[in-house]
Amino acid sequence: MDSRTARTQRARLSLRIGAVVGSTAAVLLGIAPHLRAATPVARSASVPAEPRHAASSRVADRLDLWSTVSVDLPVSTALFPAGEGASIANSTCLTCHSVEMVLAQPPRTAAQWTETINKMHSAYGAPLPAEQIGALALYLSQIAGKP
Amino acid sequence: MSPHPRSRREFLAACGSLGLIPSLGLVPGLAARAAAQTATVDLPFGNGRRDIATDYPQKGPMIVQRNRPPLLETPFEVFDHGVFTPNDRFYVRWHLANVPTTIDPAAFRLSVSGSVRQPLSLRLNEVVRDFEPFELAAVNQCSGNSRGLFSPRVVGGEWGNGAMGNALWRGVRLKDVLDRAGVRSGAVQVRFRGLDTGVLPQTPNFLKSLALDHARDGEVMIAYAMNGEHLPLLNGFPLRLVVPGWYATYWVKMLHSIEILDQPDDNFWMSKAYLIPDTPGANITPGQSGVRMVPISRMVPRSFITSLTDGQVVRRNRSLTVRGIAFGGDSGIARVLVSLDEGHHWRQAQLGANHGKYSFREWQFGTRFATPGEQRVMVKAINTAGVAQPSTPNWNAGGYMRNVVESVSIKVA
Repeated sequence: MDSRTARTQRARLSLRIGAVVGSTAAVLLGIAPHLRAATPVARSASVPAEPRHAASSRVADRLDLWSTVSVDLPVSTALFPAGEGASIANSTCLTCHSVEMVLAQPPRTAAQWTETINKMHSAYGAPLPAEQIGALALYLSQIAGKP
Repeated sequence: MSPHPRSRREFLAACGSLGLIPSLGLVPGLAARAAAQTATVDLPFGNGRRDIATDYPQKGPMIVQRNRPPLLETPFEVFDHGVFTPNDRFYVRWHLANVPTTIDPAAFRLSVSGSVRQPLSLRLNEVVRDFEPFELAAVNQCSGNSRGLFSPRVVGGEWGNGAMGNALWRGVRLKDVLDRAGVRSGAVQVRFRGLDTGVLPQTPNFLKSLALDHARDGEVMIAYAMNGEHLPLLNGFPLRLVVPGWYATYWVKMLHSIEILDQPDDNFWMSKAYLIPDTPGANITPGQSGVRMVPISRMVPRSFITSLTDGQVVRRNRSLTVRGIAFGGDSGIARVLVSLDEGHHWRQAQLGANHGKYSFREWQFGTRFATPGEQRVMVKAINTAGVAQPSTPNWNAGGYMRNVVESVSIKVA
């Protein structure tokens, strides 16, 4: 795992959330229990305008202060361990998911990996020429589940 | 210097004792980065070493099962701190890699379409203001929580026990929103879609459906807050479906589309994925074939010891309060039982405050150990429907619905 960790470079965290969200959150921590028991206001089908719910609108008003949330997710640049088949794995598996998911699996046979590869292809559309499936399955059976 | 400093403070202390900070010219930011990368945890199964990361947005230290799409597990010690899981420690599970990283509330709309008299396109403030607020405490648990503990092992997200969390959800009843749209007669299911998409055009969109009656039960809700705050982005900001008592696969994150269907949904995520054997406890013999498979649905009871860890040394003849959490699955907790003699005798634990039938519930058990040596503490929950945790683990190829009796082995000295 350590060598894998060393290969992983996470992008610097940058979290930009409007200040309003933070202050809103602080206010919300004090939601009074009695406000939960708001009495529903009967809605008439002939009145399209939505009625406010008097007992609960004060709480709701605090939660309707919405700000744009924008985050950066850490990016793993880790590749598969060197070996015959690594380039196939890097160019196909990593299209949709990072490498840890594969390396964290228990030991599996090439036949079991073939089932998984076929599922990735048929269910999710993984682009993999049929003639490479055998080599990839063999490679995965040799590297995954062996920390 | 320990090989894996667990915190920045520990890392800096270790560096300081070796005089590394001045000589390497490390700045605190770099030190924190190094610490974040070297912290690991060993989950209790083969190939269980995982990184603990501190650089996921709106999240504290989390166990990295997968970077992309993110699978982040809650470190188990968090569950000893209270029955509500803090938002910044709440586990994360995404299926598809294109998770929007910017949400503009002004542009966001929740659509209600399909077999309705009046399709809706609701702004966030319309969701918040125009329907009666509804609040409910509920456990959100991944269908595959604890999959890494299956024996024989199965493929998938190799979680420990931390793919679960409990929150006070606030939002509006799905029933009220459906009533506003006016569901047409003949409708059978309601389908939910979030903003996440696959990388490849062939990858099926993540869509989940509930029977119409379930969707209108007055408990299924659209949440805009958890534990009194807006949801973290990775937990589904700005809106998330909450399906109390059901596995989290139905709790669609970044919910933006609700579609009322005239026909049962046969999309991939309902008809091919998240299927369990239609047997008690979703339990079959490894290799067993010809079993009818059905979509996963209701949760089963579980309980955990949170105040003790395996191998912990406890002084003999001292009074000790063992503590933990339990939940009933699709109904409340009736009893939590503790055994100190390998399951021969079970004694009732004291239950903590009741936050509703879908919530974690704290339990406590006072005891003292007189005999030095290895001591196993076992815990079992029984829900109000009379369902008890089994004494032997279930097995199925998906690694779903584990809920065997849990135990911790301590040393009395």
